[in-house]
Amino acid sequence: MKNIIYIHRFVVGFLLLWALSSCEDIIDINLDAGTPQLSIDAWITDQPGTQTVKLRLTRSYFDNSPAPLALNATVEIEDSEGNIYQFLDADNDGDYVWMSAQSTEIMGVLGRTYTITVSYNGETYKASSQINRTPRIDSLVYEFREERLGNPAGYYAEIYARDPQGSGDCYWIRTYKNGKFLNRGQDINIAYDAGFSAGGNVDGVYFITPIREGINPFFEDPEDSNVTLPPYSIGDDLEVEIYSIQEDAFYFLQEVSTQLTNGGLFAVPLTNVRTNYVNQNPNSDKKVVGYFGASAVVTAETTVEE
Amino acid sequence: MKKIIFTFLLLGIMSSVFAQNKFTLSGYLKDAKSGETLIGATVYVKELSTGTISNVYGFYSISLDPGDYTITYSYVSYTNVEKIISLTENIKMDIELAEISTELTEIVVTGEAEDENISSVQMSVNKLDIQTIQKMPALFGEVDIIRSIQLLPGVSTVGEGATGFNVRGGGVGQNLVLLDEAPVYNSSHLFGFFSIFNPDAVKDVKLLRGGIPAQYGGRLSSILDVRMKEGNNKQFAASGGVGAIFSRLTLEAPIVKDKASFILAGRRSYIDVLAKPFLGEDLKNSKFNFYDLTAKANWNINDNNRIYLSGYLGRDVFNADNVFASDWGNATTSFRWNHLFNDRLFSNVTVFYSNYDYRLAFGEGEDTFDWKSRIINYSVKPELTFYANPKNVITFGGQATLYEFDPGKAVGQSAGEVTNIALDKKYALEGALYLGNEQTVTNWLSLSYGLRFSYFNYMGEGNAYSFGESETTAGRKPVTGAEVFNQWESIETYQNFEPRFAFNLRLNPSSSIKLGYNRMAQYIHLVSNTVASTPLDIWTPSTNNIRPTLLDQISLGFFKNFKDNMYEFSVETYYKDYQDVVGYIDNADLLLNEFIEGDLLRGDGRAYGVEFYLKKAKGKFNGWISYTLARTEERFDGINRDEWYAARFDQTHNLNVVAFYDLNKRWSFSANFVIVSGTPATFPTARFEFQGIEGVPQNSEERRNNYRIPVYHRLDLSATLQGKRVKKNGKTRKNEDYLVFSLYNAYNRRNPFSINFQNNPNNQSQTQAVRLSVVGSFIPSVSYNFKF
Repeated sequence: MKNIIYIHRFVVGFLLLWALSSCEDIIDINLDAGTPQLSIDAWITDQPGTQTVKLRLTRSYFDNSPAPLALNATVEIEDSEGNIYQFLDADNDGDYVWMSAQSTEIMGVLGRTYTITVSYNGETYKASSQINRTPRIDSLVYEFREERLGNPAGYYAEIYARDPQGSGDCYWIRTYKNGKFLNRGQDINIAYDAGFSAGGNVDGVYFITPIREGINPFFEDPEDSNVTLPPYSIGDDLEVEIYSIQEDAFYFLQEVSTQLTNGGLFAVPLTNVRTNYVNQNPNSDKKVVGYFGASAVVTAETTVEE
Repeated sequence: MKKIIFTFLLLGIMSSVFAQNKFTLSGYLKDAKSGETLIGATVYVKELSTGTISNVYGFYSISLDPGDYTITYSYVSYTNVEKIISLTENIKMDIELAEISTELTEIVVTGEAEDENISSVQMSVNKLDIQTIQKMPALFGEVDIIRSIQLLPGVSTVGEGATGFNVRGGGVGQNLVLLDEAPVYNSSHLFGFFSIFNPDAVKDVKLLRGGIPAQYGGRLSSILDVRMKEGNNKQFAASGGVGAIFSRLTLEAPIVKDKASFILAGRRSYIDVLAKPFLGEDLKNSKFNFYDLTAKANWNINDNNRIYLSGYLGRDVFNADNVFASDWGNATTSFRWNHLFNDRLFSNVTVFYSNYDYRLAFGEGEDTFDWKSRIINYSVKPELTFYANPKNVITFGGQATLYEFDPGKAVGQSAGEVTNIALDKKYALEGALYLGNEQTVTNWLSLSYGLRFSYFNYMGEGNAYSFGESETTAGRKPVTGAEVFNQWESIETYQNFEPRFAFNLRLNPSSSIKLGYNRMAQYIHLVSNTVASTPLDIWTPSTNNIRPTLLDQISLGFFKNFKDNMYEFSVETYYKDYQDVVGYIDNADLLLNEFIEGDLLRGDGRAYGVEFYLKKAKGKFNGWISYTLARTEERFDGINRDEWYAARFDQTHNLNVVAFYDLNKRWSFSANFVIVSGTPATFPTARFEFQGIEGVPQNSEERRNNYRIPVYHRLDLSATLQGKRVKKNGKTRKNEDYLVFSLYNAYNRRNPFSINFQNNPNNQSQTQAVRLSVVGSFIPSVSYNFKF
């Protein structure tokens, strides 16, 4: 629903702005550098292999250099069965890695709750997340479409997945085009049951259209910024991962998406996105940024052919 | 305060009861040419140096001792009428005043009304006559009431593209916009570029921003009282115009001469029609327009009874090839009955209906989405005005309003599977009783005071939710329970006494000091979490979780006229103290949210400022300068580290210069210049990454509105060319017409609407600040206007 509202806003805003010769341009602004905060990037899955937690520090908003590393932290994850997984930064690059002792050992198990503990600079932060069920993917299809409403002619894909009965399931649909993860704000495609939001009353059905089609990225032509390229062309490889996420993670991603796509007449004020990390010292005002997620993953892959 | 005002009221009523052996002169004041009643025209008794003014229906009444009097009737830009009467009985006298024809504008008109700014007890009032509005430079050459009012002190907007207007730091939803007494919930077409009022059909516009009398209530910051014309009851008349954005046509005619008349006024924009040739095949069927229609009729049944019926319908429509559609608009109907119980007791009963709704629909075939939201109200408002004696005019009345809020109803279809999402409707009843008196104590002191009692009942049918404590101080409150209420069953009630008080202390014939105090209560809230107000903002009642907002405002002003009223000067200061301001949590979710109350916060607000105004009212070269220095702040627990911060509408400096120059009988020029401090906004101070997603903005210090967008300034120019009034053969033309050439944003400034922070679309690891300018260049235009 929310996304529909955003789409609506976009369309109305677009028509209006076009009518009024509005313009957007990049300007220089001096911003204060905020106090650096610890940034914890941890999202474990039920997939085999290593799991990585990246610890960085925030940097000033316009600083385009790599984020400063947060070293000498201790990172561990404990699951609801009492298993403890240690994460180590062997090569001092801020990436704390857990490696399975045996190649068959998988950390993430459906239904279990995982609690991460990060200790850094004398502060300890904890966050928990449960691995929920995933939907079943029926098919990943594509078709050729003619130009429509400013969308260029080309191949468009749809992911048909059915949300299981029972409301409250949330998903993050992550798309990779030719192996590259689509990481723009407008590419964040999330579902609450089969729809856009809680109370949407769309449970146990196929994802609604905008979600099914939310895997089609538009990029402008690098040669001509007035030309929009179609999402897919013949030969393109397309992979879709559906992460099961908890409701709170859904809201986190929704907030990130809002902040990254903010603009136009319906812009909302800038606000900090949520975090589920809690400082274990209630008297400390130090906070971290980031979100600890745990997901089961289902994937589908296809290559666009004639 | 309550008691003091009540005592005053009693005294006022008593004094009138004991005033016996007086006779009353009463009647209506009208325009000689069209028969339109004149609002606020002056009736002046020379011998007593006292007088009265006509009310909003053109009625006046003054009771005097028996005797011979010279009565002067006057109205700005009308020729005075002087009558000598012998008051030995009650006299009814309707007077028609003739408008001074446009060729004669140089001639100085002197009437008592010229110093009304000094003599009237009402302060903080913005009045613009339609002739002035028509001369001001306008966007696309389309004169506009609300955009013109924004050039007066204390009124502002957060920028082009923002719906509505702001008064003394108040939100858009704090303005009571009345169209023939029916409230209008969205005063804008096209995101604030145009107001919904067709200027050809408007008779009178008055904006009160302080010292608000007791008959008005329900909103905190201002009352915009717009009265539409009644329609020419002498002869058929038409007026209209053709402009770059829309065309207008107004027709008015008597039904029965001098007894009944009607007016029909319509406008439609045709951006879509003009744009069609430039749209691709796929957008050929797009609609993109707005229209409004005003229809009114009135009937003078007899000397003591008149009825009026008015209707308004306006809509903005967007439709992209039937795949996407959205529209919104107001509809109002009001029926009014003026009844004279006797020469001194005037009554009016208004019954009205008002509706604001929007819809958006999306998709086609088996995948569609259709969403509607609306607010409806039905209201009855009886009011009595008792012209007790020349020193006291007592007004008493009441109002009852039934609200129906429909925050959202949506039907979605996914691959043929239909789902319904309907938020509960909400119902409420708002009532008010009031009593007020305008009292002239002596030549140098006049008072206006009153008391309003307001009552609000949030009622079923529906669910009343209860909420628990949020995890963090200003976080989302979880729903802990729901209780079902039956129709008409009360869920929560509120009531407030709202005292009003104002005085005018006349220092000398050309200067006065005025003071105004008012308490206002607002029971319905316009919730909006966007940077600027939009048509999708939702009205929500006070509930068991949301309290009504209260405002105490005190204003003090000094008014002085110079050089025989050639120059008017005023300086006013105000302080506004808000209680229970409605605020929003971070990342609030306000649309289609059944539990919206959990996302709202309760806090404090305050606003203060000083407004300077200097007007040159006469001469070939005239105009005004207004400057406001102001501060508007709010505070919520858990937001901005619990500290006060500048509200979204805070504008430290606001300077407007408006100038008119009449070159000759045919050419006149005007210009306005606006410079306003940038409004506050929250900017990031840091960024972070997660799971491959980069450049997430973070405000590390958790400050709200920690920066300001750059300063806004703009110059507009316009020239008006009157059509020749005399034909080649020497005869005077019956028709009047004129062309308006205008240049909006003359020096092509890109004023920021907002600054947004985004990742570079071609490189997600690079961040940038993007300025959105809704008007990105100068806009020239021509419009042709006629009247016959």
